[in-house]
Amino acid sequence: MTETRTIKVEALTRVEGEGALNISMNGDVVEKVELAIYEPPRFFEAFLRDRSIEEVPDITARICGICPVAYQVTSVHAIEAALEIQIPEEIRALRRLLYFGEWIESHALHMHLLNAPDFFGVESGIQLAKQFPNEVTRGLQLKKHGNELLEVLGGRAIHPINVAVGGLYRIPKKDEMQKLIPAFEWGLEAAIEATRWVSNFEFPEFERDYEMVALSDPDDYAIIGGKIVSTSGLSLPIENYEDHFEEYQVHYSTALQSRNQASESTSTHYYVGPLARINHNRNQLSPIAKEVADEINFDTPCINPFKAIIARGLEVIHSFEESLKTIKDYRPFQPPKVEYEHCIGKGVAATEAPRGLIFHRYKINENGKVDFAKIVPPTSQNQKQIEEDLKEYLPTILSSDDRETAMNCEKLIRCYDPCISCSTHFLTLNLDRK
Amino acid sequence: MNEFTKNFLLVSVGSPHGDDQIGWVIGDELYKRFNDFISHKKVTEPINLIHYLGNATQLHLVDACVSENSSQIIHRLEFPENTTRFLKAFATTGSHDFNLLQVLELANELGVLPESTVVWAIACEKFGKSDSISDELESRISDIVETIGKELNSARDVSCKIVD
Repeated sequence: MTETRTIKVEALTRVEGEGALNISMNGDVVEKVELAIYEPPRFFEAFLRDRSIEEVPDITARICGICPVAYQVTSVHAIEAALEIQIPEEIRALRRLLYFGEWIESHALHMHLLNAPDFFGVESGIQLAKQFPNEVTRGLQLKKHGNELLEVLGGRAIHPINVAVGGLYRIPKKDEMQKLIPAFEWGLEAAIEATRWVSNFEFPEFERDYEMVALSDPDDYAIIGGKIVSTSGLSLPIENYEDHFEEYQVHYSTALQSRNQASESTSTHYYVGPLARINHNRNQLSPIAKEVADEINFDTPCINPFKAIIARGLEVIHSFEESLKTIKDYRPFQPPKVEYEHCIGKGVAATEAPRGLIFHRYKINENGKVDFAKIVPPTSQNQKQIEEDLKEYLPTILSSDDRETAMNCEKLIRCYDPCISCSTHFLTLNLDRK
Repeated sequence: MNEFTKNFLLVSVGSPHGDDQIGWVIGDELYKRFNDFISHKKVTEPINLIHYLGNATQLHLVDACVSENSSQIIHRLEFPENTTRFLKAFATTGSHDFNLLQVLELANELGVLPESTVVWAIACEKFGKSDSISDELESRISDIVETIGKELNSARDVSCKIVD
């Protein structure tokens, strides 16, 4: 008679938010893997209904404390698409710069304090700091400089407030930007060292044939806009995202999952995040990031999820390098935003949050208020892929000690840098405002 | 400010959600009264407070915590003597995995934690997304400010004597 084991990780550590993992096995056969998100459902899509479009960027920024820019910028681009507002290139450049601030602070934290401990068999960044105090301090300093950029461009590091429909509320002064240069020159060198450091970690031999999805643009390392591409050959305009990708609910999680409904294979899960971006867009990396990728022999396509930490390192290098150029070339301009009029409209946008592709859709009424909002975060898109990875990975790490098995499962999940607070939202809510 | 005072750092920890804003609100009120004496920073992620430690020799933190003991609204904790036990008991909830206690431990491990670190943990119950502060907590703000203010006042008096 085969033995049935149930392994439960009641609370995943070192991921943002709250999630648990339920696995059922029958002997050595994995019967069920469920990534259970038990955060209370978020009501942001419902909150946004009947709100003025000018409030949307600040409301959506509050969905997540660690990636507010991703929500803000995606929301504002979707609204601008709905109203057919064309923003000038200078605004686009500053929004891209703001986004780099978020990539830097998010990736630096994850690399050094959340993910790196797993490679040294320690439980936390605190214990890692005993072994690697200089590296941990470097990671915190990198994060600090990312935050500084957010303060200068976003008005503050916590839930930036400077992103407006049509542009920004305030254009920074030249000296405010130039003060960042020494920190960013240091940051570029530090990012190179950090990437070299993580590239020498010992990585489990685990590879999968992923359907990797990301934005791509021949002229830029895509963050805002571009086309949606996948390793199976998909290349579609952002407007067609919902023709291919749909959300659905599972009974064990308050977070929706996503699937590629147009997939020709039987598997409909897919992978978003830095590894997907690097695999599609290596040629668009900044010169130094490309050099380092070559130096450390980072081959693409890379299909080992544990090596996402290297992809993050390369993106931090790119972020510092491109930011430095933008900051040095910066000339203030006016007006900070373009004029527009309220009208009925529908608009979509997609950008690349630190954790992967994020998609928004809005329907606006003639009074400049939101009739409908849809927000698809990256972590909910990755959930099914995480479960599938675990099904494949488990037999290789199975131990008689459930706790040890659970810890190894957690390590795989953390490679995705899941932001669980972002990935829950309510399905339907009828809201009647009086 | 003098050499002593400019190293007195107040950090408010909070988020825009319900009673979790209390740290910021209290910090703002204290800074209005004591801005000749203290530096003040606001953070959402506790980990970010490490960026501001600099040369601080005294650190006071104000943060909301979850408490089942509703009779005591404010708890004064000193690191490390009683923060470990109480912060774990209160399960201070940060929106990211590095809760306040872990951040203090990390800062201590890295050798950047000021020699005197005090946590003012404010017991709260309602953390609804994007909600305003609950009426009950709002009515206690002035008491909380007074309590912490007494200690800051004493510290200011000491610093004035040092200058003199």
